[in-house]
Amino acid sequence: MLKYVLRRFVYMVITLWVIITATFFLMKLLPGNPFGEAAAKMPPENLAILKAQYGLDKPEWQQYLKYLGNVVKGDLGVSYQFPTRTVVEVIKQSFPASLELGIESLALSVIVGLTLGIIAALRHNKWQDYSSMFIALIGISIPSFVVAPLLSLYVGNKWGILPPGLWEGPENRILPAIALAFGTIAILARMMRASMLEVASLDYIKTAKSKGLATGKIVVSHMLRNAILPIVTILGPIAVNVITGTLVVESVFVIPGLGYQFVSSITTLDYTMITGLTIFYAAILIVVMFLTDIVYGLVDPRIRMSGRR
Amino acid sequence: MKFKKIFSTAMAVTLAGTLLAACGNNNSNNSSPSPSGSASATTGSGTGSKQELVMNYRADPPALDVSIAESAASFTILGAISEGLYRLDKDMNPEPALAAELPKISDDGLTYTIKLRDGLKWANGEPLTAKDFVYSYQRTLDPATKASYAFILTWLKGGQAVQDAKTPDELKKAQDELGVKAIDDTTLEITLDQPRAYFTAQLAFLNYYPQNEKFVSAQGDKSGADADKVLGAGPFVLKSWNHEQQLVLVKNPEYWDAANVKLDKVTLNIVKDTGTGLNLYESNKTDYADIKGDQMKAYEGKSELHRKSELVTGYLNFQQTKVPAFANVKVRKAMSMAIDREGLVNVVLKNGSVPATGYVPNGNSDGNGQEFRKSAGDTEVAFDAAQAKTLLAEGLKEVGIASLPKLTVMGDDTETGKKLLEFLVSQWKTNLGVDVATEPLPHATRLEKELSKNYSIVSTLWGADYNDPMTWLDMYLTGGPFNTQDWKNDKYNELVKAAEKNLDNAARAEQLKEAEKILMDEAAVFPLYFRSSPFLIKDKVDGLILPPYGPDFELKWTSVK
Amino acid sequence: MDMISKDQFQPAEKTTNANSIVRPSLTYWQDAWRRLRSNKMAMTGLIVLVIMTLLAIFAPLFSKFDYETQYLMDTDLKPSWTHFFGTDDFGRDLWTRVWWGTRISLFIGLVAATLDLVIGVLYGGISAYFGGKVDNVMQRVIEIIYSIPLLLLAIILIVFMGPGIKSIIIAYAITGWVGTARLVRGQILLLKEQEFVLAARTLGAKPSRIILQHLIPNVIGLIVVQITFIVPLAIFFESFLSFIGVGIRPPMASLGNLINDGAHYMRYQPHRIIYPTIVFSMILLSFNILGDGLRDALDPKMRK
Repeated sequence: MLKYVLRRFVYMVITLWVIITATFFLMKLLPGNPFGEAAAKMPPENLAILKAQYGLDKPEWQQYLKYLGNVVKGDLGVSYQFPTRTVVEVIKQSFPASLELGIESLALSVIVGLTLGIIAALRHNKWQDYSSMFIALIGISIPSFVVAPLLSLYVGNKWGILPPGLWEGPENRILPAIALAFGTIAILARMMRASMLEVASLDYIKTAKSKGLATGKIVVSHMLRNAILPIVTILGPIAVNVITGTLVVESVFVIPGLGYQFVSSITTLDYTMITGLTIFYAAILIVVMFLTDIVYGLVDPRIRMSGRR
Repeated sequence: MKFKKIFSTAMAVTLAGTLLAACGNNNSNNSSPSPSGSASATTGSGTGSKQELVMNYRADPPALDVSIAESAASFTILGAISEGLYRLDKDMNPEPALAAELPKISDDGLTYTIKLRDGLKWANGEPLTAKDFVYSYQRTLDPATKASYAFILTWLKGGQAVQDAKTPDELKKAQDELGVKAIDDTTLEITLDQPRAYFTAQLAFLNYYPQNEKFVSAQGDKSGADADKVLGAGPFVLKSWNHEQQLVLVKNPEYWDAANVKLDKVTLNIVKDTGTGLNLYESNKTDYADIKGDQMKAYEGKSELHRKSELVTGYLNFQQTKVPAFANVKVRKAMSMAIDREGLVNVVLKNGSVPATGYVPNGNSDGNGQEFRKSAGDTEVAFDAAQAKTLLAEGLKEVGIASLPKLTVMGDDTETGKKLLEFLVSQWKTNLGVDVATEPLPHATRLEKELSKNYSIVSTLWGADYNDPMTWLDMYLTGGPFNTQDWKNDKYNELVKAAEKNLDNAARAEQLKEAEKILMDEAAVFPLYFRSSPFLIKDKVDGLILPPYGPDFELKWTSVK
Repeated sequence: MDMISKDQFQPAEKTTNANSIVRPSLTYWQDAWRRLRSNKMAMTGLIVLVIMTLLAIFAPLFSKFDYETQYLMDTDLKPSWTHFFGTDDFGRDLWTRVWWGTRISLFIGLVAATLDLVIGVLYGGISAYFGGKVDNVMQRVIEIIYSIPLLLLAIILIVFMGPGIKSIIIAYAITGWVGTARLVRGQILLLKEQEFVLAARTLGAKPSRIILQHLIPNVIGLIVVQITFIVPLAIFFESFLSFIGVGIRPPMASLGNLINDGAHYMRYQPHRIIYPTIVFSMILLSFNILGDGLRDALDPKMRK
């Protein structure tokens, strides 16, 4: 087992390294310089000082090695947009809101999604099934940039039930979490339904039924427990998606999260920020996948043996 | 010149406006700001309402450091937590702030002697002296500070030498020779390189604020990065700053004029989406919101709606090296003539912006106490679809080509930016029969391509850095970094350069007007509109000034009714 | 216990045509189609998609308006008999623009899905078939591509190639195939252990032949289902780019930029957002329902 974990760990480090490298050089491909107008107005000597400050005067391979060294030390550089702040500081400042929103929304999606999925499966091909699936599908059919402003306008402003935006008290969390949960609910509901149906067709459920066990007991102690397993294993990547996919909701509900930072760093050509955030996001994803694999390996010995899923 | 950047990023939003109708009761404060003015001020305006204000604000300031600040957001916040020698009142007239009185200007217009108030203090209680100004100007000009607005300080005698200093010794020497001296603790003497009629007003701007050397050098790279890394001597102090979320300002008890500051607390929530911003306003979560054209329509005629016309012009540039046909005046004129600017402001902008009637916008001074536009008149190429076609045909014949090459018009990918491109393309197609493709790009990319002259037509903006026609006209000098279209006119160069050195303000204004006329007659640049921005401000808010350039708003004299 | 008496048994009546087959012999696809047809939801989805496609093709052809000409006197009109969906702030007919947009969005969806499938199936197939080291390396590559934010790639491409349909499709194709590749790989890993592959290999078939002739046909069902999920994802991606502001070039319309524009106006011009959103949602909903139906229909386990 230890060998397996070690091997996965080495893969993880290699993947991260490739991503850092790829992002670094992709950034170099982008045209232009991040100093924009300031550069045009400055005497060339000052521009040279500025470039030296950010290490842009050295050959690219030197810049790369230096950057790599800094990343290992946990230093992602200084932002160009916010000359007084480092990328790590920006992440520290902005990520908590995204993370919190992501977790809240994920909890909501799990509760609603699984419920819908279970109802649909237990009432397979009945109206409950159709309507649950329909509700779930609506979630992936309407873009969040329609849902979010609608919620802000109606629930927030016109009906005045909840705040239309900002990130202050718990009441500010509800609408964004709902808007963000929409898509995830659909995925979870469909997966839960499929998983339940699969389990329902297995022999031990039939056995349990013929033993005359109460339906409730069968559902809870036999079906749910087994059907939920595959959901748990994909929850990691889903969580990452939710946490990193908060962009639209963040900008509509004016939440100070990292998603918005990412877009503004791209549109302002803030190289260090783009590279840093890409690496940060990629690292989260890779670490979660690593952990998922380890958990998988613990649960299922076959995987450990063959070394792959 | 950094302004343009900010302008175009958030086109929907703001700098500036003429005065607010609602400023009425500030007159007394403005004209005679005596420290002992109103005794009741500390406890509010006397009506018993809570002197607290909540505002939407469209951007998080990148850095609250006097030297390196370059965005309107930084200007606005620093304007509240710090102060210069003067502060502009609602009519944009400088009134003494840290200075005790208006400057004594020498006869040659070069030397300004300014007496500071007695007993001035920084917000941390330390005394504020003339030396703090000297330090500030030296620091901004130091090339190592990398201040993009340093050029405004090169107006000081020897300022350019500081900027150009290569070695520490050179720097030290140049800084010592710089045209700013602390005669004693309360007397400052500033010497200019040439007379500048608008200099007193400029002393009210951020670039001429003082800085506390001890405090600033203690912050190192982090100066202005957080609430505890900013020190001012203004009406408010920055109590907290959650980046990208919220800034809280509270009244500064050490401020020399604290008695006349009525607001106890101002909360600025960073709100970038105007739709949500309006939702917050309508559900009473904020007292101030900037809005867009279509939202403005619903508030037409209501007292909450305020508009400010800014010193901002939206215009087109035609790149002449990449598209040789644009070197022909008739072709440029034809392209300009085919655009219905009236339709543009009514259909695309709908925010109170007016069709441009020249390059220098309405409200900009001529450097001689008059409004430039009023005496220069309408110099714009008039909209005339039929004549545009004839001109284009003639022009193409002169150039010797049958039709224009493949053209694209580049612009920002903001909502308004894209709509503008759509409108232009449709106009050229309908009125001129010319096909032009749109190329909306993220702001920084658009700017980069513009400055590297990698475009055929660009839709862009310029905002005044100071209230003088020169901020508009020196950019089209041959070889200037912002003359990206490679237009060249010897007479124009001659006029602008002569005006730069002219000590006679009246003659100078004439030279600049003549220069602008050449610019317009040659259709070297095609101004589309003078920008205006709409705001919603709750009726209970009194005395909030929305200046036409520089900061977004002025809070010192604001109160809640 | 009583014995069962003999007279309780009777000879069964002899069926006359014992050898004839009652149910007609069906191929895999006929069978699937039969099952799909009996799935009302899926069929509704299919019909809606056909209607939408027809409208996308023909509605702009038969409209007296085009998608780009601006009528500045007719701005922001409410829906009427002249303008079924009303007009936008440039006086352009929304009916025409919505169907133009549908055309563009469907085009982006289909082309992106095709590219995605070709790359994904080949990659997944090769990775799974060869297994071992090859698989390992290829899986790492997938992990890397999967970890690079799609948005970053899209914006870099747009900056390079200029905004437009081409950039969007390429950006999506570069990263989108990863999911398909994983799916196909998983399926082929299962299949390649089965006897018919072993037989082919023993008979000396080349890997390319085994992959193309034996393995891929067996994952076709999976692929068909996958298409119905990729197309909406690509359409969604385009609309997301429009939200960020880097979608297609105006004045061209896509459902994404129509909805995004509409969202700015929803407070005062609700028709601007309602119609494009309805069309968008119906397309996505139909693809998903059809996909679910197809999955059931093509799944051999569901065969009766």
